[in-house]
Amino acid sequence: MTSKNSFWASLRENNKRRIWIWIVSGLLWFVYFPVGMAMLMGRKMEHNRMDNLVGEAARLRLVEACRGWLEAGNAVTAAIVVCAAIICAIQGFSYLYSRKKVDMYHSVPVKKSRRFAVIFINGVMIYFIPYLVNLLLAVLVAGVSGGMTGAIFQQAAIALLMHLILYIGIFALTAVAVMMTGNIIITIFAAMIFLGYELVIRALLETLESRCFSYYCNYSSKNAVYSSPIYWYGKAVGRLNDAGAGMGTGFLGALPYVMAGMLLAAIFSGIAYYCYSKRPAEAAGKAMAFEKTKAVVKLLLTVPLSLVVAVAVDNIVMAGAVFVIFGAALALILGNCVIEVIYEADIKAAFRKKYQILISGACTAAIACIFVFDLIGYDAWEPSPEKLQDAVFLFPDSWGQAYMDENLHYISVEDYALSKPGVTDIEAICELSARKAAEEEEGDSPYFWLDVAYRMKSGKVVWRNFPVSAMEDELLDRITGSEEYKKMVYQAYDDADYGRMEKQEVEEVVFNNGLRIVNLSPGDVSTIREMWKKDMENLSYTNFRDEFKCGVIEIEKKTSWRNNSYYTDSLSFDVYPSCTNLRKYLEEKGISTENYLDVEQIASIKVTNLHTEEERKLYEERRNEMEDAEAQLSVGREDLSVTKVFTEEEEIKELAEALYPSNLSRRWKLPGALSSEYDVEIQYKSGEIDSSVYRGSPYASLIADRIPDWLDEETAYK
Amino acid sequence: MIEIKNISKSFADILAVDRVSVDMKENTVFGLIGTNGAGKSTVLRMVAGVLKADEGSITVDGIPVFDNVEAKKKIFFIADEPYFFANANAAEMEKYFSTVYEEFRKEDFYRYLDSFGLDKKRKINTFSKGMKKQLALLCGICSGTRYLLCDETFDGLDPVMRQGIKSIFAKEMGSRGLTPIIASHNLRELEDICDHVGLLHKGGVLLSRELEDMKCNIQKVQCVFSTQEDKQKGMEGIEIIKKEERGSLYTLTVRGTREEIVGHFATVDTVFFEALPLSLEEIFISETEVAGYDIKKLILG
Repeated sequence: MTSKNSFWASLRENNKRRIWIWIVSGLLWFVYFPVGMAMLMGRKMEHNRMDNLVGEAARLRLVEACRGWLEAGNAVTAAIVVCAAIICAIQGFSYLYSRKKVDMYHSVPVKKSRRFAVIFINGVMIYFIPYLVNLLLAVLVAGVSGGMTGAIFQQAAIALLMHLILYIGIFALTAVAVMMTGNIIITIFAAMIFLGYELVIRALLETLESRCFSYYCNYSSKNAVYSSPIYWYGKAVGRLNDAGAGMGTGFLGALPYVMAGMLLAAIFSGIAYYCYSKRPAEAAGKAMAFEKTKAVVKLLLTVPLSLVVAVAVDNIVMAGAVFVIFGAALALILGNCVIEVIYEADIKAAFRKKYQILISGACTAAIACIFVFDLIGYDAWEPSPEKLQDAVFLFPDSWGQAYMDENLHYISVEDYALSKPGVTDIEAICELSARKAAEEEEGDSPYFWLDVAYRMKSGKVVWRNFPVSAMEDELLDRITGSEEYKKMVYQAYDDADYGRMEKQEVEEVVFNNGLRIVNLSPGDVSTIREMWKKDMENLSYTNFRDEFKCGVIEIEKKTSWRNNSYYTDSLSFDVYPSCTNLRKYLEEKGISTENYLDVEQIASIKVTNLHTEEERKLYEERRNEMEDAEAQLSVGREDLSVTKVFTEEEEIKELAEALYPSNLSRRWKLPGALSSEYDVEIQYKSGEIDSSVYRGSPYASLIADRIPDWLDEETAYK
Repeated sequence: MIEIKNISKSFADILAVDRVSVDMKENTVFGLIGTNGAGKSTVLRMVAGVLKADEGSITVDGIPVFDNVEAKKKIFFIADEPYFFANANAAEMEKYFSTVYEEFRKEDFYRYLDSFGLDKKRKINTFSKGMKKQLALLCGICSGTRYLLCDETFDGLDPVMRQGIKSIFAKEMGSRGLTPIIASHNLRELEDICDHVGLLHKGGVLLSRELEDMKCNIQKVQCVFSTQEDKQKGMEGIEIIKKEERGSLYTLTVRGTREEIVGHFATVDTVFFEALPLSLEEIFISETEVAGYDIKKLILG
């Protein structure tokens, strides 16, 4: 027989106080799951009927719809779970806001731990049981409709678990907010702060770093909110959906994220219980439950607020230090006053604790000084050769490529690069780093900005973004010529990565020289890659900088269904003049890599000389002629461009030798290597190009040192 | 016994209870008197284990009360505004209290409900204020706890109900040693119920005495002395707390038992002599005036 004061009896009694929320939860999940599923299946069946889809195709449509509704990645379900957790936590512990209720509950002989456990467990059950029951009903509805499979049932079960972890995490986090506050408005406010504080602080610090430090690298930004259950849920769900689609490392790949979510939920639950056990009964109805936290919370809110306002004002007024300081000070004072008014529920309390305003101000000023005057030596930092393990480089040619991880997930360039062994030529790395400041000061020397992740032996990763002279041939050749560099930049260069991608069926292979696209056989892909890799082994920075690409081999994979979306992956190999093996192979296949154009096919080349320098001078002269400001503003730029069409074979031949297709990338190229004065358009002879299949581009630039001498004269502005 | 030793409690900057020490013996009715803001509710909430004392200690039968289930099993606390669950009726409250108080006496509870004319199925939120207080008292009495803490619970109860509760108290005290502790700002409300009274003022205890002791040890005497010598003789050898003179009629408040005082005045020649009974109010006025307070301002407004 159950003792009348057993835990079960306590649960039952507590539930009697929460009947309305049981009913709301039951109705919510009933409408969302079985009713929603019935409507969804009905709609999809109607679509099948309209599209005359029958048999397996019709069933697959239902299955896909059912999967989307029941799997863990459904954002609507997750949003409902989050809202339900917040409401249930506040409802369960809201008795703490009322002195009358606290007097009753805390005077009866029930242990705090039991009372907490009863409210907590019931809070979870209020969500879980209606969810489970209605999920099973939805499965039944889907099964009857023909949209259910074993795999979907498995995914629905995983979603149940994942949503439960998310729910407990948010529930516990909200419970902490309830424990720390004394009324519902402040609790909701606190819960929102708990969920978003890390995100805001991270964004603020990164903004300050990027504005104040010359060598701040955007890649050092972490798009993570470790303190949010939603973050871990999202990470785990991504992996689980991959596993459900038969990709990635299976369900084990999601385990670390699931564990992290569970750990976070456990930590928040522990904090909630600690706060519950320490919460004074007299806190009921007050803004903050713990006197000691008042000043700390105020500081933690007002300092970031004033810094955010400072950044915002700086964005608006630009270089207006007085405005920035005024804005920050105003935000600081107002923030302190508003919080104090909320604490005391008394407008007259606004300036009651002036010393706290001063402390907040001092902290804000100190943090601002750290960034403005670089007191942490961010820009002066240089890697120590003894402590440096390797470095990851992201040169301009890393951009524009799509990278995938081992699960064939698209990942960012920095994540991909960091997953590879870095360049280990420590001497070259440190020397390049040491030269950065000097290069920036040399205004006339061509340079480019480089992103480097220094990986220290301690495991720490330090990102920096700094300018490097484009003429640092020796150092840059050492780095870009290394095997590690090529593997971290060219996905097809790495055997393991390429091996994974090779398994995907090839849809199309083309050679694209920027002006024309020529089809290749999918069967050639392996040989092409082999040749390209062999050629790339000998290429480095000076090749990339000084040579003009012959074209690009583009490999398009067949569309695949992954992560709830259709993907078309592509790989590309840059073909440089120095890629002798690959070019020879292509030549054997009848593809010329020597010239971008076959002069025989060209009817004319239209060249437009933009005369930008003359246009600028004329504009300035005309503006200077105007006396009043309004007239100066009304002066427009005059089009001085001169367009000429060249049809003579000799002219076309000379121009063709100077062409560089607009569709080919200009990365690595030194300023002025390609003329910015000329726009070129190619007109093919009638019948030479089949317009129905032509996919090239007729536009090009001119390579500066190959421009025929006569062109300037021919296109002069008169 | 509830032993309160030197407890203090502050709310932010306000000192609500200042070094209070009181012993509340079992099997007596303890009255805690004080003006609004004197600290009565705070003391009771601390005794109930709801609030934690900043300083000092509170033990119930030797067990520290705060955060201690064993001590709380001995206490039932009726707050000044007792809380009942939303839309609950008396039967539902009984079910709840039955789960938290192992010795809750259902039969007695329903019997008392009947005798007080309270409908067990009627929603409590339709009860009058007095009915809610009766229900709270019945819950407390039937909870089976030894100590019943009542914060302003008797204020506003009609005389019939007071008498009814009083008789239940007497029965429960006799049968199982119930010890009611009743806080009130109104001295007259407690006069006929309490055995022991503690007076709180500004967070501190002004006095704490057995009511009987107080009543027996203080007498009011009206007399007219025959001669000046008799007057001088009559005023000597006794502790006069208060003296009023209207013509030749003296009204004296004197410390001592009735026998001692009557015996003393028998040795003096008086034209008129009468020993009058003192109300609790008068005793308090006298005692607190001795302590330097104007009780009329404190208790009676």
